[in-house]
Amino acid sequence: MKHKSKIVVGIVAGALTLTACGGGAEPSGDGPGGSITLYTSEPQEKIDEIISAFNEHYPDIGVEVFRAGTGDLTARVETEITAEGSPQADVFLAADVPTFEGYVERDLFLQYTPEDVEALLPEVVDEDGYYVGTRVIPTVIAYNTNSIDAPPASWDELTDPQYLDQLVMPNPDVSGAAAFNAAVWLDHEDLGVEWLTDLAENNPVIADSNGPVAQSVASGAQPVGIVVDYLVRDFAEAGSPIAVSYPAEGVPYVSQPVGIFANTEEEELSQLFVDFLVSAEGQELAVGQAYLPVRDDVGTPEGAPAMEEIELLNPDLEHIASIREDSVATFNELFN
Amino acid sequence: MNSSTNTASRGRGLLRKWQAPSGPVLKRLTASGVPYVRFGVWCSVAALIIVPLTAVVALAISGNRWDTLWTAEIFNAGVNSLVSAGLSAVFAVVIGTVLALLLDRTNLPGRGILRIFLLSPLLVPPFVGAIAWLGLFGPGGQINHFWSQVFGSPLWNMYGGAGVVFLLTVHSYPLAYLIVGAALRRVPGDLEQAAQISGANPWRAVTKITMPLVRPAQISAFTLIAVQNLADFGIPAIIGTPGGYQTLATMIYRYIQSGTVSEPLQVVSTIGALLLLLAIIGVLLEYRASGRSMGLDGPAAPQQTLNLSTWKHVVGFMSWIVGLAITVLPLLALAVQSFLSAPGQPLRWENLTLNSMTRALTANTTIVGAYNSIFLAASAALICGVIGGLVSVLLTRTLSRTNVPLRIVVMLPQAVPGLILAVGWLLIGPSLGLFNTIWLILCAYVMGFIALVVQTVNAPLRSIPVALEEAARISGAGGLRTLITISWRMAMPAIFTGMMLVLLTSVRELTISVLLLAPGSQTLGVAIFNLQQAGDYNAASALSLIVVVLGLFGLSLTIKTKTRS
Amino acid sequence: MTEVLSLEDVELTYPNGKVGLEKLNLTAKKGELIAVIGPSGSGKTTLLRAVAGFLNPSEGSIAINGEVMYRRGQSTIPTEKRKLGMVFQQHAIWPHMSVAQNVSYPLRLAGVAKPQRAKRVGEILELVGLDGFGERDPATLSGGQRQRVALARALVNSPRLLLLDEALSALDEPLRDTLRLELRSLASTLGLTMLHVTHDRNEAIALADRMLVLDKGEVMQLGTPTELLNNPANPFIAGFLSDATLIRGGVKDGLFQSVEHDLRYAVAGEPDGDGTLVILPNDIAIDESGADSKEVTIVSSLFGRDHNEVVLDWGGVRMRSRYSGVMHREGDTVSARIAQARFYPAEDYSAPST
Repeated sequence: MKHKSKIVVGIVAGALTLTACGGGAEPSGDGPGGSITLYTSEPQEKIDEIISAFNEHYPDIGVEVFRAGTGDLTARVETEITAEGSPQADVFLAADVPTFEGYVERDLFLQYTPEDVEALLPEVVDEDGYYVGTRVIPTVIAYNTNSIDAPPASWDELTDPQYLDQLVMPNPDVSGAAAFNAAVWLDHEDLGVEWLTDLAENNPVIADSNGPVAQSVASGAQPVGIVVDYLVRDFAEAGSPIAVSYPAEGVPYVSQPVGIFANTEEEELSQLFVDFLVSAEGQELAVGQAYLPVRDDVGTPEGAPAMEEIELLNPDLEHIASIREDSVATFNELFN
Repeated sequence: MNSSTNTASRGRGLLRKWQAPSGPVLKRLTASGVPYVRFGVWCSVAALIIVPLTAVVALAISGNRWDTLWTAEIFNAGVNSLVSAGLSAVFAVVIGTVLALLLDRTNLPGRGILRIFLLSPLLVPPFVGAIAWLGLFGPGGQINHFWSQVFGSPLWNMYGGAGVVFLLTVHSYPLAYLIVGAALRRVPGDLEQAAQISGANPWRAVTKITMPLVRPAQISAFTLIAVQNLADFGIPAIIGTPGGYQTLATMIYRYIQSGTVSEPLQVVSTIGALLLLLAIIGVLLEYRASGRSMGLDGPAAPQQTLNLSTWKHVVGFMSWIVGLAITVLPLLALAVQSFLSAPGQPLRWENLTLNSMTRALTANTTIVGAYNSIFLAASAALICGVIGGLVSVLLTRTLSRTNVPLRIVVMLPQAVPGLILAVGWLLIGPSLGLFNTIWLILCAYVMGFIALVVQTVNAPLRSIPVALEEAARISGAGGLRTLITISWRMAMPAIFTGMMLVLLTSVRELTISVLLLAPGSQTLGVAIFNLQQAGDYNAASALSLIVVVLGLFGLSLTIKTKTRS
Repeated sequence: MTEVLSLEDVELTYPNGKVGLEKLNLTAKKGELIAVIGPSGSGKTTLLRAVAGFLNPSEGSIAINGEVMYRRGQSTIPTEKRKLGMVFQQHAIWPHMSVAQNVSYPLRLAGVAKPQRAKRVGEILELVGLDGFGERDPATLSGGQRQRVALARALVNSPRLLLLDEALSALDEPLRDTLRLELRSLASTLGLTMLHVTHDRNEAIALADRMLVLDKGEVMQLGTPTELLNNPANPFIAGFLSDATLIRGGVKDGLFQSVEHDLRYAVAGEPDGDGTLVILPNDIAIDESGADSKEVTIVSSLFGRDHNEVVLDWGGVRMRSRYSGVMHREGDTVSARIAQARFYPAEDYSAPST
């Protein structure tokens, strides 16, 4: 950990004697100690839960979180490389594989294979061992149950004129999942640029990230949205009139991979954190947070179909990585 | 003649405040020790203000990305920024002037309490106001929801340009009212009475005699508000962006945060240099427009109260309705969003919960944000108090050729959009070893807010006769000793007030801290903004509500201690 | 002869209960200059503002040229329709207008055509000695010049009545003196009726045809300056206008006895009872020995152009005296004699409030 800011927060936190939060835990003497910085696109509340569960096992490891959309995180990493020569974080936990592939090519990651890798879904584990997926996050169709009686059952249906001005979806500039989706849609033989053009005709609202999309559907502002599935379950559980529809063509998904930056000074602590994320306990926590897990021994969240019932689109990720940038540009051209 | 000739409007212009003090100046203080103080002050001012601004301009020139200014994206954002800042400033000044007349000059029923209500948007951070208003006029807002159910379509979706202008206006008219109202009160009543004796009815006397005299104040209010709104980030980010309405502020943020452009720092510096140029042109124009100083001498004769006569109750009723609608309604919407368990639920008793409130309050990010904000605000207040206080003492109590440049340099950041200050520190941060640290935010706060202290301290200090220091010299005190034991001590109460201003301004700051955000250094404003951006409107509203309530509480405490002393 | 101004039983109570004016009656004939004087808070400005229409009385009536401006229960004529001129203490020149624009403003409101307006403004500026100043910015004028502009503005539309509210008080002494003379000559040239409020006794005495002395909203005396000086209606007038020595005491068998001091004075013909003995400064003769003279000590002494002013210690009573002749220093002992004193029975007694 090389951030001077840590000292400040430490001083302030110390001065105000509040030790409940992860960063300021009392050292207990046994077990590994130190602190790591995590860049993540997890919602703040969820990552806070994860860290406090992690700290129950490792009370002496402080985890400094910087949360932002994947797009914002990658921009930050680039700035840091320019300004300081290397990323200023230890662990990177964000949306999509293409981003990670790009970093692997630039030698930004350490190789690390987590402890019980055999228990994980093989699709989410990097063959070269640079990163591993931590949850399965499909992008689905969400709809407001107050406004929509017959929900659209396929991506194709969304181009129907009846959904003119009714749609909302995230901005691929900000959301890594959205950028990934754009590439997968454009790559899909039944969808492609034609479908995306038709979708743009329906004039969807482009929200910054998935959160506002789900919010917008839940509140009824836009009755139908394209959004990651766990947020729909989150809102439905809280009592919002929102439900999910899994489109017939299949759903693109991201695995929220985690990797360790090569320049870390806390390799061991970072590995402990990665292990925890994919451990049975870490995955149970993920299920409790409405995520689909990356191992099959922890069940699925309430209200979610079983894993085998979901049609997942599994394109060639290297190809997706190569067309990602162009896809985002195409998307922006069509929708702005 | 009376020696205290006061100009038609104090605070008439940013530039005018830079002029040499008209009051007494202590010449002999320049001796013994004072040059060291002056040197120290210049060093800190150079490091805190000149260096970052130079960095912006230097990168803009060396980066050579002027071509990007003509891309449609930036050009549109620039036009949007100018239009939204200009329009909202015009509306704010018009509303502020009407309010100043209605509340301070007429017999409007209940104007005392109405004034407090109408000033309240001043206490609500603009981005919190945006979140609150979304609860009413957002696509899923309460009023739109109701309207859709009754009439089939929403009343007004405030996403987009109109909403941005509306909200900027709501958050700037109180400042316009304060500036114009102060100028209005300084116009001696006998000027209007002389017009009445000459045959003008009371309203004509107000419009033809008093109004022209407050015009300089209106112009300076316009400039101040336009510059402020040009830099506002929270409102266009929350209201504008979802409607596809980008301003330079949101564009700069997007470039830096998401790297959606190549060489973002060069491009942003170029925009920054352009804004800097705009700000300077604006200030110069205002200086010319505010025109010759109109000397109003002598004690102001009391002003006549204008009688609204038969209109009294109609105007009173309307004012109260509008006043409550724009101040209380959004706060109610904020409260509803804070207590509603999930979006989209009908407003019923069983759907209300404290969950969002607890979640917002106990979240790690809130706690860290609150610590950071308090730490930053307290430190910024302290540093601004020391440097700003010394600057004021030097400016008002000593005579030096460097005083005018010092005044210009210290006041400059106030005329420059806060975003550019942040960009400046972003640029020099790495070479200072402060990259990705909270200290960068502190530096930018100090840079931006020193002027608040200097402004607060200058006016009262200037009115104190120089004989007080001369008496100390006669009694045998040296120059430095006099400066510290007499000048500085006399300035203390005003410095304290200035520090409170800095504290209140920076504790809810967003524009600077969102750009200089680093791991572990998010402020309360950024915490709220991030919750909102992540779609957790309920938690964002809950935290906003807490900030507003605490702000009101803190302010009432300040007022209480002030009246007690 | 018509009465330009007539006030009948005017009473004015402020909303906070403070009495501004009490049962005030006053008439001003055409061409008359009435000086209103009194200590601060006496109601003199209140009176002027009531005539101007900035304040409305609670009772009574105000008429100008026989036309009712205010009467309780009737609709009040607003200030702008009263056709008055007024000069304010702080001149109240509009800083955003030139001298000519200031002066022509009343004409513009009265709908006078532009050529006539220019001609009239030229005339009036010449009259007040500001010929050629029309295009000047008021900020470039001296205090005296600004006050002349204010006067020109007040006179330009031939007002029925000119109100002067401490109009000369803000000016320095020599200038004030000059303007006093000019004002007096203007008054007779134009046949102007004026109500002149001032706190300066000498100015009131010098300018006024008649003086109205107010105290706590009540009329103390109304009359020519000579009347007020020589025959003050009560001890207040004597004290306020002439710095007379007021001694409280009682009369028994034609002899006044002070309450607080060992001082007696024969007041032949006065009935027994409590009251005040008033000794005007001019009535104490210095350096005159005689049967009733007394050796007194000079406490303080001021030299003057026409007469010297001294304060004497007359057996414990401080007395003001004005005399011509050799100037005495503090501590000198001189012989002094009370040439004349007036006794006012108690019901007339009223102490100056300042």
